[in-house]
This record gives sequence, structure tokens and C-alpha cells, in this order.
Amino acid sequence: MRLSLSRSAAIACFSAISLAAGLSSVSTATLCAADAKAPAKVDYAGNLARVPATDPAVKDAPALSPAVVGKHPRLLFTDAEIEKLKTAIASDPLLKEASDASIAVAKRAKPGKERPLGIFLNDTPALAGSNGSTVQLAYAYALTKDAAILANIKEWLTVLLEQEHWADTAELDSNMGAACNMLMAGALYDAAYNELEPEFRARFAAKLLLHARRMHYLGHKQLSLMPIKYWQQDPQPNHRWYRARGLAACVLPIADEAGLDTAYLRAELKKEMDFLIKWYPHDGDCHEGAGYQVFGFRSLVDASGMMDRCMGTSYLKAPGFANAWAQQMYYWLPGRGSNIGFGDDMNGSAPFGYDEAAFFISPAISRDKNVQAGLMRRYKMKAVRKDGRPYVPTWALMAYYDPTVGEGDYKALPLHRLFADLSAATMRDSWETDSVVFTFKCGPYGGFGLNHYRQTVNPDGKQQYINVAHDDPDANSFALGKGEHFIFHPGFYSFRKLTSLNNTVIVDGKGQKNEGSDYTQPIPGIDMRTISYLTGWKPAADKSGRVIIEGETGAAYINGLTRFRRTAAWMPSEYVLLLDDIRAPEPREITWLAAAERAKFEKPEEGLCYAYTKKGGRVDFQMLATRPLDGAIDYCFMDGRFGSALIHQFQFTARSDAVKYACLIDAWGKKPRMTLTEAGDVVTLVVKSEAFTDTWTWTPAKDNTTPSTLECKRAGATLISLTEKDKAPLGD
Amino acid sequence: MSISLSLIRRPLPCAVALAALALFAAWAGPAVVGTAHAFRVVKDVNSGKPWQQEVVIFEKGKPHDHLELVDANESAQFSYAEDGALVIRITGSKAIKPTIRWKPGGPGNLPESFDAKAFTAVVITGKLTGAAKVTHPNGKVMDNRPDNLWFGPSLVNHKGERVGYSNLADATEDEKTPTETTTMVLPTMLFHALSTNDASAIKGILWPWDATRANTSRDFTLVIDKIAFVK
Repeated sequence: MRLSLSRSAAIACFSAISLAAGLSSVSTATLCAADAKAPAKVDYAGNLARVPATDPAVKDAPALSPAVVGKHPRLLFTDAEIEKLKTAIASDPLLKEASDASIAVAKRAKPGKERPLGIFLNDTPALAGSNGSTVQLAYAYALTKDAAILANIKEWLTVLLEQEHWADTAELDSNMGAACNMLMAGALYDAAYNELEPEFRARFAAKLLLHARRMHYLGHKQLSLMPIKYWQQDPQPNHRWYRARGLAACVLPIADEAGLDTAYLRAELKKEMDFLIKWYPHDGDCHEGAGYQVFGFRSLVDASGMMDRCMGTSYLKAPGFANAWAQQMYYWLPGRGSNIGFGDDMNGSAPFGYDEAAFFISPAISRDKNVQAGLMRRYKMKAVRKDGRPYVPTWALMAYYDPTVGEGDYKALPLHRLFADLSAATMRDSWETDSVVFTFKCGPYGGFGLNHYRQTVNPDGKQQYINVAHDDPDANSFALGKGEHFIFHPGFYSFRKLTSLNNTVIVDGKGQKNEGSDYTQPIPGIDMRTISYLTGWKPAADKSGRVIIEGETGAAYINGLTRFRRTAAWMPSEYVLLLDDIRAPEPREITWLAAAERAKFEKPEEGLCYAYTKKGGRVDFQMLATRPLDGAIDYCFMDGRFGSALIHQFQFTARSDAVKYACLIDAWGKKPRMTLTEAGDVVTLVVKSEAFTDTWTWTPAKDNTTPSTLECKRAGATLISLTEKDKAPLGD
Repeated sequence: MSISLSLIRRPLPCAVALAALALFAAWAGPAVVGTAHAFRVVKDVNSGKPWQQEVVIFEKGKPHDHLELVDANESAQFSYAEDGALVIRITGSKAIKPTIRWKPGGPGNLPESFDAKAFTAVVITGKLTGAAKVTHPNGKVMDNRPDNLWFGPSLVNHKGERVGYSNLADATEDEKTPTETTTMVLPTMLFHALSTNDASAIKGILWPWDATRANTSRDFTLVIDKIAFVK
């Protein structure tokens, strides 16, 4: 049962304000209710009074690169880059289609007649319009020098010039919408610079400086009267990346403009970008999920590219940019056309959009042909509309896709990948549409890098606030997709972040610390890296593709566990084995959970069950344990901001101070069966099918950081083993 | 009867182990596979077995004096059909919130209130016929009835607060609001999972619908044969 958007729209009261519930004594619900009654009044004078008349003097402010001084365009591209793009367009059909479509759009892309335009009143139109569409006029004009496009650019610049506030909201001139409008303003000004009337150009340059200063002081310096500072406290919120890009887009085109003193802003912009890149994970991952990675990545790419081009920095050489593609590809379920992601990933199947194009920057940097091939295949699969309307390639391909990389073989991409910063991994049996994809995660809210920042950035040792609003209480969770089906459901962008909505365990009905809110908050007083982390990681040395991964998160539970060790063995084309060693200081009600579109018990006396979907997907599994289990299939309301689902949930409950679960997942229909024998603390599992008999020896870990010992033997030979030495990396 | 495996987690004298195994053999619960346990089924919403009816609010043909039908304005009028079905006639453009309350007793021996979380689902047998009449700028009036009308009951607690909401189309196999009499199973989770209002003392069922646009007028009839809370 799939619930459509309307319910979620009714549920959702989403405002930027609510993102920072933890920073405010006012509840999100209260704020939302107040918002619904009347828009917050904007104290224009009070806010603007906080923007000083002049900036501090700065010695040795970073300067523009000599190569771009006095030259335009230089922000998103230079003339030389446009010439290269023209060459690429001439030889690449996809770029040709994208550029033709973009030029056609640009010729008719005039501002609407209403005043003020919606882009100045709300983030969403600014995101879709200024950031998603209008900025393409810069490319279209640079490619064609078309008079109609230039006229449209001038109309847009005039509207921007006449509009007092680029974000007429409580977060005056410093919200995400303002940042998008700043991108558009800087990009169009820079692209048309040489054709603008000198007087108009000077007025517009001053306008860019005005908004750069407002963004800097009200936003980055946190002087806005809006009390909630939800994006300034750490380096990773996409909100902050948008503001950095907006600031760069306004400062860099005017940095050599006569009569404008930008020295202080240049210095502050450089400082901000140094900070963001310093803390950008080497994996290029997003702890909020692959969906939010799409939303934020492009702005950081753009900001870095602008800086590298104009100020000679080398931000785009930070390893995260070359690696960022991986979260998109490895959390991709090709048969379903969606992600199978975690956190606030909606796991939907929208057509390929302008923000997604930015991931082509990864192979453009690394020159990895196989990555390019993988991304291109994914693009082609997403370049369709379900309603049959024709799909038009996004203009943004021109900005990030480099056809000179060439396409290698997507099948050569490894079939598993560890995301050490997230303490997560995915495994798959192929990149084809019938692939089986298994995901596993046991990381702290925010990932390791962000928590390192939280724990170390303040000299007095005080924990720094970090924004983990889009993270789930999902340590030691898994999901399984097969073909077009979510077999074990990964969840949606939930407004009630509960452990019970993830495929992990709950204890006495409760989940992991700080569960239950609409936007998750960091756990006070606890170094979150110490309560959820990977312990083991062992890909097989041969080419079998087998992998063992293991996580520990007992201490994350509200009703504390002394151990919750989950070990997953990925045996591609044969089965997946999921082993849990759960211990508590006293008897608890421990419930193992797995959500499925539909759930069925087949032979409870042998532990046999299956998960299935209405469209015909089915995966059988067997559940055994070292304690008596109560089995239940209950409803599970998987709520989502953009659509919910009423599905089923397997629940296996033991009442004990110690229990071990063994779950054998028959993802490939090989009909294996398992027996479990416990002797002392050592468990022996025999997994038998017509094709193989595997004997697993599972010895619990000696402590909460050392891996368990796990060995699989078939016909006397060891297929794969996890030893105490196979420790997973903690962070990237 | 259940037995803990904790005894045999440690090395045991053979006789004790044999005794433990004998106990397992006599145990009527889940099978032992190796020295492991499978599971016994304590709940299964997908078993296909008939629901256990615990609380019947209304059933066609049964006395209904215990029901109190309230808050019906001219856009939502309660009545009973000749065959005894409960009917809500929905017309016009106004917001409506017809509510079915009850007094303790009645044919189902209803309690004054009950905990929604104690039940698995609300089962409603009924249909919604009709359409919205939309007047277009050219003066034409056309029927409009999407498959999914976004109409369904909410619960009302002892404080008169609304507890969650549902949608009839969510509870049908074809995900369409039924025009033929259909039995719809609405899990109580839909009501209490996202509501912050107290679901422990339910005293009524509300059928809310917001006002329409000015050019739209409703012309619907909701016919209810039965409402019951089940486990």
C-alpha cells in the first residue's frame, strides 16, 4: 500500500526553521503552527542595522589569480573553457542535445511579471529557478552570444537590481534562497559583463557587494535576528555550502572592480572555503544519505570551482570530489530506478536532474573511465519520464560532464564499497537491472569526520553542535533490494526518526539514543564515535566477491545493551548471512526487525519466512536463535516527507540477557537451509543447499572493539574468514 | 511453556544436557534446529485468518440507539437507509466534520472509550458514491472524481481531539476510493503513529473534509454498513 504525496504534504510542516529544533527552546511543532497562521514578520531595519557600514581593514587579502584579473567571464567558466566546451559539444551528441535545449530555453527565459518574484520570497522557487534553471543563461550566452539571450540576462539583472531583498524572509538576505539568487546574479553578471552598460554594470557590481556583505554578516557571522543558527555550527550542512557558493558568486566577479573594496570579503570567503574543504570527507560522502548528497554536492563543487578558477586555490583536488560519485552509484538499485539509501533519502525515482549532473565532476577529476561509464549508464537509465513525456538532457551536463574522459566498462567497477566515514558499506552481485543489493550501516550520527570535528574543534574540549537533523537512529541496520523490489525496505525521509523503522533491533520497545524526533539531534555528552562503529571488514582475497562486515552499537541503546554486534556475510549468488550477538546487563525484551512490503511466515517451526512484493518480488529467509523467539508480522507505517507506505514488519522477540540470532537470506533462490548449534559461547552454523555445504564457526568478540572470529569452510577449504586482525577503519 | 537455553550455553555434564534436551522434546513451542530455536507465531496481520472483532461501533441491521451523530451541518447530513445502513450525505462546498460518538452499551456492549493502540485495525464496510461538480470558466459543469479522493475517518479522543487520519483509498486493493460496497482494513497505526494526541481513550470517529474551492461543489454519499475495531 503506497500512500501518495497528499498525506505527507498534510503531515509535513517543513520550514528551514524546523531544521534546528535542537538549538531552540521552542518546539518544531510550535514553530510550524505559528508559521501556518501567519508568516513571521521581518524586522528589516533591525537586521540591516547589524550589517556594519564598513568592513575591517585586511592586510594581504587573497587576490585574484593574475590570469583572470580584468577578464570576464571567469566565475563558472573562462573564454578558454567555453571554447573547449564548444569543441566537446561538436563531437558529443549528449552535450549537443543538452546545449541545444539550454539555448532554446535561454532565449525565452524572461522573468515573470509579478513583483516580487517568488524567488525572493521562498527557498523552493529560488532553488528550482535561480539555481536550477536561470543560471544556465550564462552558459547559453557564452556559447552563442545570442542577442535574445543577452536581452533576457539584462532583464533578470534589472529585476535583481530593483529588488531590495534577495530573500525577503525572516532569515533576511541570508537564507538558502538568497544564496541561490546570489549564484544567479553573479553568474549572469559575469557572463554578460562585457556587454553591460558601464553605469549599469557599476550599479550592479555595488549590488553584488551589498548582498555579499549581507550574507556574510547576517549569515556567516550569525548576526541575523532570526535566533536559530542551524547551518553555521559545522562544516557539512548543505545549507552552508549553498551560502558559500552564493558568497563566492557575488565576491569573485567584482574583486577587481574599481571603487569596490572586497579585501575583507575575499579573506573571509577564502577562510570559509578552507574550512569547508578541510572537513569535507575523503569519501565525498553525505551522512544524510544519497538523496541529500545530490542536493548539496553541486553547490560545493561550484564554490570550489569558482575559487580555483579565480583565486588559484586547488579545492577540487580534495579527494572527496573524486570520490563523491560512489555514494550515488553504490546506493543505486538499477532495476527500481531509485536509491536504496539511508537517512533522509526518499529513495524515490525522479528523472536525472541538474544537481545530479555534478557527480560527473568525479571522473572529470580522476579520469577514471569506468566511473564515467557507470555514471553515464545511470544517467541513461534515469533520463526517462514515467509519464511518457520526452526527457530533455539537463543543461548542467555542460558544466560537469567531460566527454574527453571517455567511457570504460561499468562492469569493471568493484561490486562492493566501504564508506569508512559513514561506517557503512554496500554489496551487489552486478550492476544490471536484476541485481541484488545489500546495504549495511553502523555509524554515528554525522559520520566519523563530523564527529571528530565535534569533539576536537573547541580548545576547551566542549562539544561543538553539529547538524545531524537528517540522520536516522539506524546503527547496525541493513536493507536488501532485488531487481525492481525493496525486499527489506530501506525506509523513507521520515518525520519520526525511530529505530523501529529501521532493520535493526529494539530493546524493551525502545531504540537508539535520541530517536523519535522529526530532526535528529546530537547526543549530548557522548562521543558518538564510541557507541556506533564498524569493528570488522573483510573482503575475500580472491575474486569471489565475498565480504564480511561487522558493527557494534550496544551502547547506543536507550535501554542499554552491553553488546549488539551484527556481522553480515555476503556470499554473492548463494546467500547472505546475518548474525547478531546481543547482550544486556539484565533480561530484556529484544526484538529483531525487518520491514518488507509484504511479510509471510511459511514454516515457523523451522524458522522459514519470506518477504515479497505485490509486483512479484520474493526472497525467503530462515531465522534461528539461541533463545526462544516470538515471531510477529505487524503493520509498519513507513512515513515519508514525499510519500509514505503502509507495509509489514517481521518482528522476532527474545526475552533474555543474551541471545544470538542467525538469519539466512536466500537472495538468489538457492533454497539453503541452516542448522545452529551452540557449544559454550561458540556457535556452529551449517548452511546446506543442493550445491554446497558450508560450515560457519562463529566465536563472539572478546571485547566491544575487536572483531568476532568467523570462518566459513566448504569441502575442507576456507572460503572466507573474519579474524581479530580484520579491523574496519574508523573514519576515512 | 518456555525454557531458557542459558543452562546449556555453558559446558554441561552429559546427563544434565540430556535432561535439557528431553525438556525441549516435550516443549510445545517452536522447533529446535540444532540447539537453536525457530519461533512461535504470536501475531500475524498477513495470516489470511478472519479478524477477531472486539468492538463493533455500528452494524447495519443492528440497533443503533447508542450512537450519537453530531456536528453535521447542511453539507454533511446523517441518516439511515431503508436497509439500515448509516448514510452521510455530503453536498456543497463547506468544510465538514460529521462525527459518530457512542454511549456505553449498545448491541456490541461498547465501552465508554478504548485504547486505539490495543487494536490492530479499524474495519469499515461501505462505499462512497458520487462526484464533485466543478464549474469551469466557460460555464460548463463537469463531474470530477479522482481515484484517490483523500477522504477517510479520523479518531476522536476523550478531549475531543483528532487522532491521526486515514484515507479510504489506502485500504483498498486497487488503491481507489470504493464506489461499490467494500470491506476496508485501516490499521490503527495509521491513526496513532504520527499523531501527538492521546490515542488511549477513543470516544468517536470523525469524517473530516476541508472546504472545496469556490468553483467546486460536492455531491457524495457515504454508505456505511459496518464499523468495527479488530485485533
